[in-house]
Amino acid sequence: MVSAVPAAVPRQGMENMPGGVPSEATPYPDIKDVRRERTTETSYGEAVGMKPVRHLAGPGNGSQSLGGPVDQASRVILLGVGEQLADALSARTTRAPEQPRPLFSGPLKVRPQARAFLTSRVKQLVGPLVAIARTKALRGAIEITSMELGVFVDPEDDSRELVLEIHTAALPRQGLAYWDTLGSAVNEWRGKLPSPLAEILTERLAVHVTWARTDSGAV
Amino acid sequence: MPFDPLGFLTVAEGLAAGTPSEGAYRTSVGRAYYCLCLVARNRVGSPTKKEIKKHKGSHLAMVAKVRARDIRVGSQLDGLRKLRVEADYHLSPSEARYANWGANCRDARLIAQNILEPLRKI
Repeated sequence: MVSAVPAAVPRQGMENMPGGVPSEATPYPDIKDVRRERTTETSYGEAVGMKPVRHLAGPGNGSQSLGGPVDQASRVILLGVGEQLADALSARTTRAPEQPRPLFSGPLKVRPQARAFLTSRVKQLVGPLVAIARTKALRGAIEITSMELGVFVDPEDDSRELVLEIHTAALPRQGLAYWDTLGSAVNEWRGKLPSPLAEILTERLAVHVTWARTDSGAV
Repeated sequence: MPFDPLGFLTVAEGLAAGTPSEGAYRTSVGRAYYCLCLVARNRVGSPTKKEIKKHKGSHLAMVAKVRARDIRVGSQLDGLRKLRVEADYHLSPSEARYANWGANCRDARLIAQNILEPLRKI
C-alpha cells in the first residue's frame, strides 16, 4: 500500500531552514505523529519551537513552497536536495506496486541532552539531512524504524557529539550499504553548502545507522 | 620495522572466530577500532593540540579529520568508535541494542572491513 501524504506540515519558522525539502511524503523532521505516545523525548519541531500548521496537502502534492524568502545559502542547499527529490520520484515511478513502501514518516525524536546542541546553524542542517536519509532509504528499500537526535559521550575524555541516529530494520550488510549510500550523498551535499555550514556538518553532527540485531547470524 | 596496525584487525578476527565469550568479543571490537584508528592517523595525521582541545578529545578530533575528507568513511569510523566505547567502558549495555556482544562484534568487523580500504586511500 502507498502511504498517504501526511496532513500536518509545519511551515512557520521554516523560511531560513534549508531543510524544508519537498520529498516523497514527510520530508520534515518536525512532523508529529499524533498516534505516538508522549515520552520525555520531544519531536524535532517541538525542540526548535515550531508550531505545526495544518496543511491540506493531498497525495502527490509535495511541492509546496517554504512560504518565505529563500536566501542564497538556502538556494545552494536546496539545489542539492532537489537531486534527492528527483531520486525519490524516480524510485516511486519504478517501484513494483506489490512492494511495500519502506517509508519512515514518523517524527524525529530529540533526546533531552541533545537540545543544548541544537544551535540555529545545526538546526539548518538537520532538516535536509533527515530528508536525504529518508530519500535514500526509500530508494534502497530500507525500512527506517525510527530516527533520533542524541548525544554520544566518550567517557575517556568526556567529549560529546550530537548524533543523528537512523535505526533501520535492514540486515547488517543492507544497513551498511545504506550507510555507504547515505554517506556519499551527504558528502555530495556538503560540497554545495556554504563553508560555515559545511564545517558544522563535518565537526559537530554525526550520522549513525543501525540495523536489525538478530541472533540468527544473518548478515 | 614499525608495527602494521592491520595486525590488530587480525587479532580481532581471531578473537571473533575463537571460543565465544563476552570478553573476547569486547576485546575484538577494541582491536578492530584501534586498527582503523591507527590507519586513519597514518593517513590524515595526528590531531593537533588545538584540534584536540576543540573537540575535547583525541578520538573525536581524529574522527573529525577523517570526516573532513570523507563523511561516509568518517561516520562509520565514528560508529566503530561508539562500539569500542561500549566495549571498553560500559559493563552493562548503555542501550538495550548493545546487549548482544556477538552482534556487536560482528557489526564492528563489518564496519572495519567496509572502511579499511577507503581509509587507506583517504
